[in-house]
Amino acid sequence: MLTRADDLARMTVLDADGRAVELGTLWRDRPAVLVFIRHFG
Amino acid sequence: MVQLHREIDAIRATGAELYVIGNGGPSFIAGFREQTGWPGPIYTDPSLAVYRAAGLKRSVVRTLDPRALGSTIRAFARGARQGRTQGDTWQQGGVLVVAPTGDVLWHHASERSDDNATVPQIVAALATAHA
Repeated sequence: MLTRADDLARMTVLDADGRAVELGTLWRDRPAVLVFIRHFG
Repeated sequence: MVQLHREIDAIRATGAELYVIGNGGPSFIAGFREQTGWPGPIYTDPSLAVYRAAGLKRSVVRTLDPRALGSTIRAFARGARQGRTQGDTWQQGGVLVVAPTGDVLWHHASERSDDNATVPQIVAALATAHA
């Protein structure tokens, strides 16, 4: 069971322009709900 | 998943933001918005590194990993194709709720394609951030 997001915070995802965004910035100022897509289309 | 899409306001009302994380290339994002009408923030993780670190079920990652395509094609050939949800063009792999402290408030890894987190579950998890 994942209890801390410290490792995730340093990882990056890409925006629509291909720019890397640190995951930790998503929950720095307020709680974040991350919904991971399993399948699309 | 469609529920979350419609009830983004219920989640934002708690003071949280809802992010969609996909796994295609960056160009996937525009197509996703067009097809689903998703108005909120969305990012993508083509390497699946974040999916793995988020503890999503091996079966989810295997489904998505291009390197597993061979076995997927074989499964299709055997008629073992996943049931598709009518009118639903996307399915959840999992949900992670994280507080500004870095604490993971809630973690849901879908076991099956119909095993999705609900909005009340997510809102309840967010309430613990202020407890």
